[in-house]
Amino acid sequence: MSMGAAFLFPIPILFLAIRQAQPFYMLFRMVFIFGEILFLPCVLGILSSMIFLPETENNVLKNLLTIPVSKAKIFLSKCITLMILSIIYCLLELSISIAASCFVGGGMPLTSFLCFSILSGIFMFAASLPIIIFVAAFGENFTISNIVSFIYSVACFSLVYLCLGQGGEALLKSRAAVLPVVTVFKWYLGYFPLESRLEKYLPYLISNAGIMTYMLSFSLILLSLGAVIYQKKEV
Amino acid sequence: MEVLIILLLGVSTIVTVSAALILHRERRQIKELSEALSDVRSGNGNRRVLADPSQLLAPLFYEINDIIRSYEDRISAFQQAEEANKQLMTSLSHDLRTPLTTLIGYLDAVHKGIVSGAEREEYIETSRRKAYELKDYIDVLFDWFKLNSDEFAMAIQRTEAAELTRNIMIDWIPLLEDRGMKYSIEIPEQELIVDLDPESYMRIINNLLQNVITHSQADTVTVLLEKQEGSMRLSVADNGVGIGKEDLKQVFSRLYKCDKSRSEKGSGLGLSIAYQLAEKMGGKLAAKSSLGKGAAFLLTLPLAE
Amino acid sequence: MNEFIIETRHLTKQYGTQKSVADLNIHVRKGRIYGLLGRNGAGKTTTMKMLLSLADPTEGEVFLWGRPLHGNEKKLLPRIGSMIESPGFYPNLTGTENLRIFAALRGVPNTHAVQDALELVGLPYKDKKLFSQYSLGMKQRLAIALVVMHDPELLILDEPINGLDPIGIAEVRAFLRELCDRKGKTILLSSHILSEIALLSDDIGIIDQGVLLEEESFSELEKKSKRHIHFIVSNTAQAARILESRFHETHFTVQDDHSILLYNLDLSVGKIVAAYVADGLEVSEAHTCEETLEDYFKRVTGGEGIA
Repeated sequence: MSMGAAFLFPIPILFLAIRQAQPFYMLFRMVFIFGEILFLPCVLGILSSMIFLPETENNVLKNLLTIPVSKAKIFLSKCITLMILSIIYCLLELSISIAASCFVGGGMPLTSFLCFSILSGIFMFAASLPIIIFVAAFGENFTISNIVSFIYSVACFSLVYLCLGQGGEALLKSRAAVLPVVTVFKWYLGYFPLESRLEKYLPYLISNAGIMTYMLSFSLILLSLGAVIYQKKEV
Repeated sequence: MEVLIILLLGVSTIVTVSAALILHRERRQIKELSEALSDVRSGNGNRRVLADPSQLLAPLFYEINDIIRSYEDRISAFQQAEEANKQLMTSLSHDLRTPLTTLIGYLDAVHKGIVSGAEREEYIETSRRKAYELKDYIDVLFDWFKLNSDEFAMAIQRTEAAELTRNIMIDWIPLLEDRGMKYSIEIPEQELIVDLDPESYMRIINNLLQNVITHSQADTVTVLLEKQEGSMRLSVADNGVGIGKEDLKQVFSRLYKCDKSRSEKGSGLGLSIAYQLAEKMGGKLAAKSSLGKGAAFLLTLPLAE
Repeated sequence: MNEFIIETRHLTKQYGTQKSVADLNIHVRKGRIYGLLGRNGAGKTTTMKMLLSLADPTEGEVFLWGRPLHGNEKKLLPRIGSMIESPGFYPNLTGTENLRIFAALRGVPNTHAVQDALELVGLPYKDKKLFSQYSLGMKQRLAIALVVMHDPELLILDEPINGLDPIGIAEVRAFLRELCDRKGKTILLSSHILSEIALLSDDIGIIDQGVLLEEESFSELEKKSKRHIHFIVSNTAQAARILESRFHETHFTVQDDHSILLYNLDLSVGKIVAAYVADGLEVSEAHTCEETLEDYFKRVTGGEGIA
C-alpha cells in the first residue's frame, strides 16, 4: 500500500510538464530530475525503513539469526530487494512518462529509454546506499529514519540543482564531483542529445562504461561496509 | 538479432550459475547428512537432518529421520524402564535399611544384655513385630514386581460385589475401632454382579484403607458402594490432610509418597498396586483431593452383562 | 560423546564498564533439564544470547556438544530450538505462514512438521488469524511451536512460562518434562521464580549479578536444604533403637553404618546425644540443618531471595 503511494510522487511533475507542452525527452528529463534525484533516495530510505525495521521491532531478527542465517546475508538480500524496487520505480516512471507523452506527442527511441531507466534505477540505488545503510544499522524508529531520508534526498537534489545553476561548472570541477549523485547527473546529461544551453557541460560527461565501473566499485565498498556495520549491531 | 544472442547468453549464464549453486547446496547437505549419521552411530539418537520440503533430497532426509526416531523411541523406552528400576533399587535399599537397622539395634541390645527383664521381653516383641513388618513390605514388593512383569495371574470370576465388600469391611471394622477412627459404610442391598478377581478386589480395598490409616491423619473414613450406569463405584474417602495438586498427579506412580522424608511406614507401593490391579480387572482407580480437605479414591468397575 | 551438551568457559560479557555476565562456567548434561535461576537482570538472557551467538562474548568461550560455538554456528545452531525474550514473528502473517518461513529457511525433519508443531501447542493449522491479532498466550504457544518444529536436541528457553495462563503453564511443564524424560532432549531454561525451577529442573545454576553462585543437581540441593539433624555415631543400629524406644521417634533414615538423619527438629539434640553416650555410643558429630530451599537461595543470592 504505502509502496504504491510512493510511486505516485512523479505524477504531479508530469502534470507540470504537460502544461508546459514540452517534447517527450524534455518531459522525461524533468521526471528524472524530480522523480529520481529528488524522490527516489527518499523513497528508498522509506522503503528500507519498512524493510529493515519491522524485523528488529518485532524480534523476528533474533529468531532468524538462530536458524542460523548470517546477518550479512540478510542485509544483502534486503539490499537486492531494494535495488529491484528501485528499478521498478524507474520503469514505472518511464511508463507514466510514455502515457503522458500521448498528450504531448513526439517520437522516442524506446529501447534506449528502457535501458536508461533500468540503469538509472541501479545507479540511484547505489547513490542511496548511504541512507539505506544508515537506516539498517542505526534506524531505531520510522520517524527518525524517514526524516533522515528526506534530508538526504534534499541534499542530493540541491547538489544537482547547483550543478545546473550559475556556478555549476566550478562545482563539477571540485571534489564534490566524485559524489555518486553528481556522477549520475553527469552520466545522465550525456545520455541524451544536449541543447546548446547545456553544451558547456560536455567536458564533464561520463560514459556508460565509466559510470558502471564507478558505481560497481562504489556499491561494492558500501555494501561490504554496510554488511560489517550491520553485523556489529546487537540484537 | 544481437539482442537475442545477448538474451540467450544471459539466460544460459543464469541457469548455469543457479545449477551450480543448487549442486553445491545438495553436496553440502549430503556432507551434513553423513556427519549427522556418524553422530547417530556414536549413540546420539536425537540428531535429525533438516531439509526444506522443496529440496530434491528432502524425502530421503525425512525417511532417515523417521528411521532414527523410531529406533530412538524404542531405545529410550528401554532405557527409561532400566532407569526406573535402578531408582527403585536404590530407594528400596534405603527403605529397607532403616527398619532393618533399627531391628538389629533391638536385637543387639538384647544380645549384649543391655536390657533385662520385662524390658528385654518387650525388645524381643518389638523386634518380632518389626521383622513381620519387613516381611509384609517384601511381600508387597514382590507383588508389585510380579504385577509389573505381567506374571500376575488373576482368577476373574462372576462375583456379587456388594456381599464381597460387606465381608471385607467386616474384617476392617475392629481395626478402625482400635485406632479410634469414626467410619461410615454404605453398601446397597441390591446385587451388583461384576467380573472380578476377589483376591485383587480385596487387595485394592485393603491398600486404600491402609493408605488412609498410615498417611491421611484422618479421623473419619467413608466407604460408599453405589451402582452407576453400567458400572459400580466404590469410594473410599477421608477427612485427612489431603493431597496437593502436584502430588495428586503422581499419587499412583510407584514409590511415590507425598511425605518426602520417606521414613514413614508403608512402602508407597500400595496405591500403585491398587491402581494396576484395578486396570487389570478392566476398571479404573482415580483420586480426588485438595490440600487440607481430605482425599477420595474412586474405584470403578464395569458391571457384568 | 562429550558428557556436556553446553559448557562455557570463563564466559564474560561487558557492556561499557558493567559486567553483565562475569566469568561464567556452566555445565549442562545430556538428557537433563538445567534451570538457570536468577532475578531479573541477573544476566540470564545475556548468557543465553551468547549461547546462541546472538551476542559475542567479551571473553571466554562457549562449547556446544564439545565443539566451540565460534566458527561452527552453521553446524551447531540448527540443532538447537530457542526462545529468547518475547516471541518474534512477522505480525502481518498468520501463525502457519510464519512457521512455514522458518521451515523453509532452516529445514524440517519431516513433511508435516509445521502441522505437528501447531497441533502440539494447540494452535489451529488452518486459521486466518494474523500474528498481530494473537493473544499473549497464543504468541507464546507459537514461539514454543517454533522451538520444537525441527525436533532439536537442545532447547534453550528464556522464561518459557511468561505470559501463559495457569493451565498453559502446567501443560508446558508436563511437555518439557516429557521431552526430557521420553525423548532424551536436553533443556536449558531460565526463570526468576524459584518454585518453577524447583518443579522442573534436574540441575540448577544460580546466577546473581552475572556471577554463577552455585551449580548443583536439584536432588543434592534438596538434600542439602532439608530440615534435619545429622548424627554421626559409632553404631547406627543402636542409635536407631534408642531413638525409637526412648524418644518414640520413627521419623528418621539410616544412611549407612555411621550416619543417621533425624527429621524431627523439635527433639533436643543434647538429650539425644546424652542418651547415645549413656548407652555407650560414640557420637562424633551432631548438627542441625535447618535451612529450607528458599532460605538457601536467599543466602546464596545474599538478598531478600527470589520471589
